[in-house]
Amino acid sequence: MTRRDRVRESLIGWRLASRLAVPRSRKGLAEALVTVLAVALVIAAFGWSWGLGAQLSERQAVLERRSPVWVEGEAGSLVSLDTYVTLSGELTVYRLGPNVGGVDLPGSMAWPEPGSVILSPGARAARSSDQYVDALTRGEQAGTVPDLVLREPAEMVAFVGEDTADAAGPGYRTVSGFGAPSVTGFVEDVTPAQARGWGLVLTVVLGAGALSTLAAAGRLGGAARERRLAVLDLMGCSSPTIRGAMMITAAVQALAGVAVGLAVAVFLTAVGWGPHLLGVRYWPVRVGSVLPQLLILGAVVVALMAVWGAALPGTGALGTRRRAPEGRPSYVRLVPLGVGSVWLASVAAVTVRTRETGPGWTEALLYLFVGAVCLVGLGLVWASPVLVRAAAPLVSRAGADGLVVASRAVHFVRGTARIGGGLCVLILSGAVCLGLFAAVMGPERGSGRGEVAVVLPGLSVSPRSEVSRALAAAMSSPNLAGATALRGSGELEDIAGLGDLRLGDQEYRVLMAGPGATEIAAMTVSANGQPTVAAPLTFNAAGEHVRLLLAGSVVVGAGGCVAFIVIALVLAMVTLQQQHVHADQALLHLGMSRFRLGRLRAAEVSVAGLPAPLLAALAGMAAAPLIETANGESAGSGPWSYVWLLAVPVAASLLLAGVAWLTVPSADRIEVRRD
Amino acid sequence: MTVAALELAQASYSYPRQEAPAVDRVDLVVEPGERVALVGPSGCGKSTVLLLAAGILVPSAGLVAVGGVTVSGLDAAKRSRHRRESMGVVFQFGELVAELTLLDNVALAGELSGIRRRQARAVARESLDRLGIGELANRYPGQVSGGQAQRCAVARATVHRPALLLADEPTGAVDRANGTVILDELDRSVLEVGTAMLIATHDPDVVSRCDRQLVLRDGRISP
Ligand SMILES: Nc1ncnc2c1ncn2[C@@H]1O[C@H](COP(=O)(O)OP(=O)(O)OP(=O)(O)O)[C@@H](O)[C@H]1O
Ligand SMILES: [Mg+2]
Repeated sequence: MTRRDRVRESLIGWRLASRLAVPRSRKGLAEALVTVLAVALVIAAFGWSWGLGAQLSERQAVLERRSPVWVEGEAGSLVSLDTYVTLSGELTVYRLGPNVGGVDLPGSMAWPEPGSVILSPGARAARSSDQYVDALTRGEQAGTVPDLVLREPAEMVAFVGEDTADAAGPGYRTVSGFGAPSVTGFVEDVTPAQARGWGLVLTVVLGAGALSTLAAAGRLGGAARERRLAVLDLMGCSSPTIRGAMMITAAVQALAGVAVGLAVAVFLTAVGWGPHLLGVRYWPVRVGSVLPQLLILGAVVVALMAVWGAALPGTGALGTRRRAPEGRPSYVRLVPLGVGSVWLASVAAVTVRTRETGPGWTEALLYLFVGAVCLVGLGLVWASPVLVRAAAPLVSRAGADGLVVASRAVHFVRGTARIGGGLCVLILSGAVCLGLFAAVMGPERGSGRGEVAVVLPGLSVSPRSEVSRALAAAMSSPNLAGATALRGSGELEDIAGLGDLRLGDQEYRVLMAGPGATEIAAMTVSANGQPTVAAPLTFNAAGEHVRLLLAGSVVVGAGGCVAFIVIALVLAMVTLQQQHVHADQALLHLGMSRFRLGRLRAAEVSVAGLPAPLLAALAGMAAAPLIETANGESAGSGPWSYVWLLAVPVAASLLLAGVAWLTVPSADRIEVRRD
Repeated sequence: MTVAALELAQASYSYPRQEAPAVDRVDLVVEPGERVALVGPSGCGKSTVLLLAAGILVPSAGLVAVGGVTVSGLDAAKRSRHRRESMGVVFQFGELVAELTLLDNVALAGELSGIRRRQARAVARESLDRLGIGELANRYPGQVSGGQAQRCAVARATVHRPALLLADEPTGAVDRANGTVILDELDRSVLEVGTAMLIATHDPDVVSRCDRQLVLRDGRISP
């Protein structure tokens, strides 16, 4: 064949391929749309969650920008930094003695004179309505804290100018400037390490879910393209031509998906749906800041889909190749599951040991644990063809239907097993999601109503309702070195918070009463015999903030992952049903009733969907006591959790089986055969 | 007077979204033990007549009765039951279940009609042997030739000795010798249990072995 012939051939091939690659039927369009939507969903999900992540790190940057750089034992500008929790929200107060040595404030603010104060817009607004804020930020307003130094638009921050006498008190330290490389002196919400760790977990978890959706969509689209392009093979087109056509179709669909996804991400952030999700107000999300990463992700996804699109078809006899049953899956597939199980067991065992000597979970162990769980999940997915293959003979003994079910399950064993693998991962990630959520949001057991002692030095108790007054006074006293409040207790209705307070050299556990508290002994602080401030306090929202952030990441990461896997499962179901469409038709024409065929399809999905999840449930039952011991508590265990472990996979596969049953085709749709 | 094995009375059918009817007011009777050939040019409606007789399609007008039962008036479940118990169908495109071996394909039809599994498998094996594909019993439809698959389809349609046998081009994909084997297998059913047969075909050999022939043209029986 001369070179010209070859060029001619491939030109003709391309013309044909490009014609066939464009879906024309409604079904073909729907299949193409699946790829577009799957890619769009992935891009949008990452755009949105990365946008939130960028915001979080921006918050962190703000905090660093205004962190004092402390220096020990030198003469210089004296500064104290306190965080108070008021009914109007968290208030951060910098008290600044006279400026020695020209220290610059963050955001190029002018250093306040004694008796004057620089307020953020939020603090200024709160001052007129909240006595407490007013008392803590007393002074003539000398300026406004710029946005650059605020973590969120409404944050309350005050820079209060003090004279030399005031700044001599405890709690003041020398600073050389602002802009410490790490956050210092704040009641921190999230440490940078925590933020990075969660970001990583979020990306990995979301990524795994996204990958499964993309793979499922790719497979469905690939099968559709293969059906349409198989004829090219018979018409004598060369394999590179066909592959090229497949690849380009897949890539074009993926590109369309990326475009739609970007638009959705921009829209989501533009309408400001993101900022309020985590229960905290933020500066608006700027997708622009993550656009480069998103574009890279988009390119990777397009490349991935193109490669998958081209990898699916074989050469030669495309149309008939798939009808022979797939080979027996190799037992090598069991290896990752085995390794993962051993790893998981070791982590649990090590944790039990460290529990005996101390902390139980450490961060390293947690990551190892997450890794092991991921490997077990993947291992189950990989092993499920072997499991389905092993389960099939058990079913084939159950009458004619059993034989058909087993034969069908084994025929496309990989496609069938995907249902089981998908269910496994779904249940696993669902459980992890719920577990994390419960761990983050779970109520912290507080002390009982009568046990709480409010102890402050030199206090006299007079009238009982004065407790909040007393605390406010204590906290705004210049002797206050730092106040770190813990989480409020849900069990104490009228107690809004519980905190640790350091006054001089002594630490006290403090109870902060809500506005309605009457029964608890109330005390009055008197430095000079008189309370200085009177205002109700609320509990510290700092811990709350961490909780909400973590809960938010769980929702975004694990919830997103679960959603993606559900989509992947649905796509896998659709693909499987399409593979069986001819057989379904043949059985109907043979005289099998639709009811019976429905039952058969349901049984088939059960054979596909039960073995791996059941195995996972059994493994979970074995592992649960270990994990509980490691946790040092047996909350939520007992026979019911075992029932749940079994019930969830059974219910999930029954649900899928129901779907398979209800979507039985009808006998007279005979045009299917000739599509 | 005996009950007709198959009767179509003024039966018509149009495919969805098609103007012209594929089958137009067809009258046709096949008596028990009778072999009738349905001939006519490609696209004249032969397959559609068979699908109507099998109760897979329901006539838009007129009626279809099999063994005295008006199948066109039954619901889908009852039609299915009637089909698997008293009919055998050889489809033009084979329609074997791709996920079952040839043996299982044939045995399944037997089991569906109510024969016990062990016996169904024994009968199926014999039938495959007679049709010359006994060695291929454990292969899958995707692993055999078109003619071999067609012979399997014949075995599947006759394994339960149905009262009515509908065959669409049963010899379309085989050589003459195998065509004879297939016709022998069909005849065996006629001889053993008095099966009535309606065969759509282009094959003169088949026509010559039938008792009579009906000619279909543009969906109508021509006189
Ligand atoms: N699924 C369908 N949808 C629409 N039209 C159909 C369908 N199947 C068949 N037809 C049309 O109905 C008419 C009869 O088709 P049928 O298959 O019965 O012909 P036939 O006589 O069996 O032809 P052949 O000898 O080629 O098998 C034809 O014109 C055909 O184009
Ligand atoms: Mg035909």
